[in-house]
Amino acid sequence: MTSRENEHPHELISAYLDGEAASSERQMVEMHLRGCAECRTLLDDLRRLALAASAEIPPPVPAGLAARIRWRLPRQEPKRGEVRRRPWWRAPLPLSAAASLVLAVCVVWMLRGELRLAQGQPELRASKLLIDATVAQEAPDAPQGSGVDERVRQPSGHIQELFGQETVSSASDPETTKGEVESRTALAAVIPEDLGEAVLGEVSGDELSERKDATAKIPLQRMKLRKVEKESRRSREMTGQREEQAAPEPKVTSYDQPTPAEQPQSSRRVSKEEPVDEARIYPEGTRDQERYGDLQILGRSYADLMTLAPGVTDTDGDGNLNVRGAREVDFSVRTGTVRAGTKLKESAAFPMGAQVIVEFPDHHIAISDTGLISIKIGDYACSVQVEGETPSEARMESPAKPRAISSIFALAASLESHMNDEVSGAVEHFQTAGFGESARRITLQDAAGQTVRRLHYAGTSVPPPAAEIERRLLGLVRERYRNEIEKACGPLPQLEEASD
Amino acid sequence: MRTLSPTRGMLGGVSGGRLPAAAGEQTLIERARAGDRQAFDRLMEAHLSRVWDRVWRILRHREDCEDVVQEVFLTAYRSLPQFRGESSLSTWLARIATTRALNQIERAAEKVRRASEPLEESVGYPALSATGNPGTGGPRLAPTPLQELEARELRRRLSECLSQLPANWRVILSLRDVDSLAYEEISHIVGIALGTVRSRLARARIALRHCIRGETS
Repeated sequence: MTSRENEHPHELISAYLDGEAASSERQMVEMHLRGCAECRTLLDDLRRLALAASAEIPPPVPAGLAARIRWRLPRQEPKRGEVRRRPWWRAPLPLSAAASLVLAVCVVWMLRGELRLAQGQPELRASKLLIDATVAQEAPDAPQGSGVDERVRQPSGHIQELFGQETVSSASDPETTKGEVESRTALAAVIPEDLGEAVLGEVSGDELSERKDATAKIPLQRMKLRKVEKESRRSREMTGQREEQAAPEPKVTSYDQPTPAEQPQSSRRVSKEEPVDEARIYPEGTRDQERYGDLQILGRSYADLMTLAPGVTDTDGDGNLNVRGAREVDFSVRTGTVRAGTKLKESAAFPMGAQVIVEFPDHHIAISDTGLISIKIGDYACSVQVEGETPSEARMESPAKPRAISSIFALAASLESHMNDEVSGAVEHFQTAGFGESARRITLQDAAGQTVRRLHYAGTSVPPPAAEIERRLLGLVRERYRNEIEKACGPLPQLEEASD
Repeated sequence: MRTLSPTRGMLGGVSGGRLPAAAGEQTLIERARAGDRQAFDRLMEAHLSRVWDRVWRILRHREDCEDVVQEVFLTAYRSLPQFRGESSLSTWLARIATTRALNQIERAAEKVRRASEPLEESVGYPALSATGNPGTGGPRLAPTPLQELEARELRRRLSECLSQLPANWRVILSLRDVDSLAYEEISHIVGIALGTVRSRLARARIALRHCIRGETS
């Protein structure tokens, strides 16, 4: 704690603001506030900041974000109990290996005839190498001396002999699939036209194992290797074995990031993340969803909100706001073609009946700053007084006890700053077409029933504050106070989410 | 709770229209859990805006927000079978969003990237320049008592100054001032001690106030 903190208990004042100070702390703060004008100003400022922060409107959701999310979602998930069939090339190892073996034998069989034509009837050790190598891979536990050439029991070692270290490193690369190793081994063995002169053609039988100076022919061998790899790729293409399909499935984290190939360019960075350690973020015993179960929408008392506006002060200190000066100017604005212009009467600062009314094509919702929520959906109509929202309680309780409704009033009071041509167009639409398919209207009335803000809009031209008002209002009705409403008036009909 | 007649009240005289034909959210959830992508799409569209808002309030960085919001819905899609319905879907999504945003903060080494360590390190209450570095660079806000700021100017300065706060302060401010969570709940969500919530919140508010007032110290 700093000396400044000792002098002015900022942390306690902050906790006091939130109603989180203990009883003794509260007394201490109140005693300090009585004698410290600086801290009274601080408390007032912190309250203003909290209110302003709660009324802040984030930028709109970027266009196309929903589409990008859809794109990243996995394909249609199988229903419970349904087993997804894999393509044969992604089948478990034994099956794919068996398929590789069949393929290799076919290739050998085809080439064998050509070789016999080209070279007379040489003994095709290559084909034996191929088959032995494949068998050795498929049966790694086969007993020694079981007829499988020991040199091909470890194909990569054998390739090392043939192609030098570089090839081995490639073949042993974890990125290199087993199928590729097999394929390289096989093709190296069965293309004597390419490699025969360099390796296989000159070396046969047991001489092969004695040949240790293959490094002298590495440049040529590398060239040959490239040919082999080219042939290998061609072979895979012919057989429909795409390389990525043959690759092992990517490791799936707990959050199941898609493979880089599946991601849009802009989001690849995300895929490199570490798995989330939620245990750190959610300590033991705090993961139950009840912890989050009663999120309040936001907001504070209307009286507090009105203090955000310039010119609204409590000059006589009686707890009631005095509206002067700039506030009158602030309210004398044009809202589209609707002249608001109504000066806020002082009575509106007494939170006894000012209301925000949102009229959708299908339903209407109104809230008053006394905590009265009214809903009209077709034949369903309900008004309930929700607890904890009355102004008297707001005054009695902690000065910053959150109020969900008041923030909606703050947003409604800010509507004029978001007027634009689109909105003006919506006003015209509203005036000509009335409540059409998408026309909506938000009205802020003071306690005397006079309109101080009115905004018409339609279609996609929804100003951010209006969208936010809709969202919060629907949140109050559908979630926060749903039980109260349904208890009073029966099940609530489905409310359509306001479109952005 | 005082109940009024269903036919009375502020909207009693307003004529209603047809009922929306949207399927209930619970039905959509059940269908999505069974693997119905269209159902999940509808849920996603319904909740995208509020998830975006929550993440943005914490990160205040458009690209990061986009990444995190995508992660939130990918996570939700895969975790939907474990969603027990003990809380609402929006609450569940909000929790995932908070977690993922916090995780993003760590991943991105936010403190370094936004050069906001001086705020955290300082024991006093520095004023922030527009760049977040006390006393250096960027246009400085004119010193103005908060009470004298017009509402619009207050909102503008608030937005600017919030962006300069360390993200782990913004998380707490958002959870407190926007979601109105109790300190204990914030403590559980963020994974810090109750006392740290209290002190960090106070420091964040004081720093924010100084920033908005444009004070040097």
